[in-house]
Amino acid sequence: MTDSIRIGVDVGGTFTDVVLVTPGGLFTAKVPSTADQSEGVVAGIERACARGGVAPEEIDAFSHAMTVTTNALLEGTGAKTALVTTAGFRDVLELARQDRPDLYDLDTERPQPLVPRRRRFELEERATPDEIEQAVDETAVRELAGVLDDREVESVAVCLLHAYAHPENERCVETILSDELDVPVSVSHDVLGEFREYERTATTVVDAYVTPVIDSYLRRLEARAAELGVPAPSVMQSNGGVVTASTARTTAVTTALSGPAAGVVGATATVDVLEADTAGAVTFDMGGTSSDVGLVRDGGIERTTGASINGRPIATPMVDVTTVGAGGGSIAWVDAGGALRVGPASAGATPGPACYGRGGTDPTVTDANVVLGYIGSDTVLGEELTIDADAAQRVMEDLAAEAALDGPLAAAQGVYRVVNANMTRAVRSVTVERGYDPRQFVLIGYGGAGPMHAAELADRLDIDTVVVALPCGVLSAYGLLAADEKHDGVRTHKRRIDDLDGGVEDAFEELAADVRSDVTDPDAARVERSADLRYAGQSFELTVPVDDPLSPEALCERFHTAHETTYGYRMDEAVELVSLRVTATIEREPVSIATDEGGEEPRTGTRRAFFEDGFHETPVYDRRRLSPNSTVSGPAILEQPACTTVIPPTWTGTVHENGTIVLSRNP
Amino acid sequence: MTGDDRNTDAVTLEIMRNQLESIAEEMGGVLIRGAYSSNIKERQDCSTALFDADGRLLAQAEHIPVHLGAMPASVAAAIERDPQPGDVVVVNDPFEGGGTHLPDVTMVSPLGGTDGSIVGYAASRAHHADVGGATPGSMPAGAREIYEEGVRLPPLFLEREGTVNEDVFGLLLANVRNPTERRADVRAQLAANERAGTRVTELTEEHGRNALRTGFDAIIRYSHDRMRAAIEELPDGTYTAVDRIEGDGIAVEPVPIRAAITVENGSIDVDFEGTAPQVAGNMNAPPAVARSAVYFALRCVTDPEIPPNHGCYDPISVDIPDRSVLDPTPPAAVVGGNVETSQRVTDVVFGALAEAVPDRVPAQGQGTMNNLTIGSRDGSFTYYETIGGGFGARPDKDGIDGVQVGMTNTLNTPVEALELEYPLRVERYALRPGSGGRGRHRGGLGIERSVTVTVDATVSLLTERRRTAPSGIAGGENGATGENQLDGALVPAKTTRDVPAGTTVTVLTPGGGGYGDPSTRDTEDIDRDIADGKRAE
Repeated sequence: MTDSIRIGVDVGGTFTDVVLVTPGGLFTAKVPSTADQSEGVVAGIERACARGGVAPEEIDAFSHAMTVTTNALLEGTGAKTALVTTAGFRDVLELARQDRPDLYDLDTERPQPLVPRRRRFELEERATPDEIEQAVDETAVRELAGVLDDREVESVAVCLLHAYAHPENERCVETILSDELDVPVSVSHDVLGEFREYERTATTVVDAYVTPVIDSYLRRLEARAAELGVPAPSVMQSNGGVVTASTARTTAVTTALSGPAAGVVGATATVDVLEADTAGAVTFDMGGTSSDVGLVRDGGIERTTGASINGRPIATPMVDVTTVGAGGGSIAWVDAGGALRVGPASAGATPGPACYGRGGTDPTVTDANVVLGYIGSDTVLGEELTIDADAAQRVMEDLAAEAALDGPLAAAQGVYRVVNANMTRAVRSVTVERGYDPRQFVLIGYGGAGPMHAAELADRLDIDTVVVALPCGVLSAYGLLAADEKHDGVRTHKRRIDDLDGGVEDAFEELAADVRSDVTDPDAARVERSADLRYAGQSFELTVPVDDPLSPEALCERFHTAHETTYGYRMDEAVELVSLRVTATIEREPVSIATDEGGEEPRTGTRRAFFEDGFHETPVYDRRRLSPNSTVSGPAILEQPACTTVIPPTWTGTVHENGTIVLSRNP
Repeated sequence: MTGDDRNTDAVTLEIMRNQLESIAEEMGGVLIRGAYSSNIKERQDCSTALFDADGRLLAQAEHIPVHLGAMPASVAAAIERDPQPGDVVVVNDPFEGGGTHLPDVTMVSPLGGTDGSIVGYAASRAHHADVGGATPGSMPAGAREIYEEGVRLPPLFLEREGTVNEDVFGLLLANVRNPTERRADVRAQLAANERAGTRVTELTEEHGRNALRTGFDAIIRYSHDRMRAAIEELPDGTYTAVDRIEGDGIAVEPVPIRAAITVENGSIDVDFEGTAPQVAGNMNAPPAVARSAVYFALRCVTDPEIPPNHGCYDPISVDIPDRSVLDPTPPAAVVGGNVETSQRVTDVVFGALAEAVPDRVPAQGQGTMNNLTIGSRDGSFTYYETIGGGFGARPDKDGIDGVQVGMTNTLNTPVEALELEYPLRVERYALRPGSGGRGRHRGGLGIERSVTVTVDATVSLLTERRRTAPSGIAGGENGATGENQLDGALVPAKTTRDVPAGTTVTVLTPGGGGYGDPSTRDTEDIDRDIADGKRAE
């Protein structure tokens, strides 16, 4: 426990969540998000500080996650970007991988390329896998700079063939364009030093497209922070690490999934209360419109380089999150074949579920939870929101009539079961389909509705343990406080393992130096090396750790083992190194949450709630008053602002020192 | 959770459907993860499915439309052998096993209940990179007999009572070019079927045997009702269309394919009477191809969200004349049928449906897969790719530029991957301006792809739509025909040539047809196309 005061602010679609940690404890706030996201951030900081009894000037560290990048991509509000490619290949961005997004939908569309054909330019130059065959003509680049200037482009992406191996031509273009133009230039070997031209081009284009947007946003935020006396923000990246705002500006593409990454980091930070014998954790974040499912294994967050946003691939490492269109606001309906369905349409925050009393008339998951008694008419869901239980009852009655079910309770039960079935399928897809057995994992429930469904979901998946952190309603903001500083780099270096020479160590050294130059304190950074390998002839790589110095035999064996774990078998085939990866990490001091030992009676009343075996008069607790090491037997409902935890009759909860509750299925 | 449902309510129906689809998907995951060859792993040319005890399709995870109609036929053929739990039947025969071409190998496993009776069947189908025959990859261009295309497997027991039948497995592996790779891919298919066994047992424990059976019926009825309702929205009547393949691979005479679609009282019959007799070359398509094309087109035109199970296809009947190019008799060669004739059948079915629902059917897409195979005589490398083209213009929007259409949807090979792996160099990979048919909505553009061989090599092209263009619709103009060139000189649609190092093969793929009168095109759209260099000014 240190005396530092830290604040994390996570901007979501509807709310901006704040977690403030002071020597006096943990304080949270939820304020509406604003169009200029920095305004809501300031409002949130002020509110949390008031609650925590500290002045903004006393804050030692400020971490931030936002949706500016995602919004720019979803709404098409990024920069007017130009793309420069090798002659003959300007359409790679538009051709993508040649597949259509949907097999059977005749109306299917690929997302419009972020750079239209008229702003895609070609240069006569060529590299092969082995060498630069034709150098770029500097005069031609200068002429191109003139054209780009005339077209008033706001940023430029450059992606030349084989630049991951031979970046000289890209460097030359970068130097000239940066000289002649006053706009940011993103070059592919810098953004993603990896082969496969479409993914590298697309990622570089996203970087160029969002750089001006992120830059101006962070400038505004820094100015507002300075006015408040709060330190400059560090920014969460999609890889689960934070960087300084000035670095985030130069690697804008890495901020794309900032919020969900923070949530998974926050979830991971809560697992340390457990015994170490679990294979890992499934993270389950259920919000208003959707649920995000992620995976933590061997203490590390699963990351992917195969993610995309809105159909646009982003191949820099990202926390691997699967999203299902099922949240508290998801609407239940009966389809043409008479089946009860839930989502993906959502009532959103306005009008919201019927029980919000804001004019919503569609039956939602939240309304079902009201009818089942998990949410009471006195439950505080969000700030300034009261529950209209009668409205929930009415919409469930209508749904029952439509679905030929026996009354509102049966309808509510049906909605609860169907939405849980949808989420079970999502969890199965991130576990069993990748070769992991969910029964060996714990489930971490968070987000407004996650802990309400987590135990039931665990039952369906045969998971024995559910973890609910104290700040479960604002866990992404909490994750911001817990995140390490992290930088990634990658270079394609294709060689048979038996042909490796000193070149590979040199390439690693170069890459490590590159990555180190990005961190705030190179001496404090822990540098980890890994490599993508495959059996020669395959086109699928696996990433495995690499020792320093590299031992080809050990690396080979590690790959065989990883292949066996992931795919179920090993082959007696030559192994090939494809890409080198380096991650530099500066660890953050862990966050400790001081919980109140205060003697207030935690039990606030009882409520009739429905479980598998019928209605139970169920005790309701104020979660914040539960003291460490106490246990709560199910059935029970734990309430706290912005988050409700349901403990079914067959489960028991144990409160840990930091306020985390671990639910276990009764033997 | 609930073990005592006597009939299937709206909630159980939805949950069970989710569970069955989830099992089919999990099988697909096991297969793709466990497979060795990139055709399965990366291009995902495979499907997995669950069937009930009567061999009715319950749920299917398919990535390639041509597997749609083929899976049930292969399972039906396997069931004929009366396999019991613990057995696995392997089959690829286009004539006696519901196959579409020999590389697609299907494995069928009965799933047992606790009392030893059969609850259902699991099936997995994968395109194997080589199943023997005259050329590596088992897709020889000029074949006249199926024996040139690889090893034929009528339904055979690959496993008996849980033990691999080494006689069958050994015979199979002895007839393929890369037995180690085949062994891994076969094992992946077996693992997928085993996984289904585990999951279906869990499902039986959860729901109870009777509720499960009732649930299967309900799920099939559910899709059936939705499909019927969707068909009832189509106007009753008989609609016809005819189109042609540009030669059978040996002769250039056009080969007509004709379909008459009758919509009546919520059911559909598709009759291919009038289609050409089987041909001497390899453009013959086994019946599963025509079925798949029909199912594919109907799913597109009705509601693609209807879960694809037996009930979905139940209201659809398909009649194919014996000994026609769509139901050949042995020993007809068939490999072009799967990749090219399938595209034309799709065009014909869409063409007939366009008469019924003109506002739902796009103009014709490129109608070919542009199969390009480059290899060396010494066997040191073989490279195969299909190239996208124009998607037909839609009633309310342009067709997609440079994309896979119809019965395929596989990914391209990245230029950088190709140049790293093969003695090939890509000179150009670009959209083909002006190739989309004009109309109120423009057809999608074709692709120009130029590849130079850096060693002496054999180049094979198996392509269509080089003479007859993809049609426009509702007054829209035709898309551009495709072109094949060697060092700039035109070569025929179906060509095999030995070429020296340094030769450049260029494929210009067809554009999609246009939709509606070109003079009614929005000027903004015209200006945008001109600014983007997608058409001439």
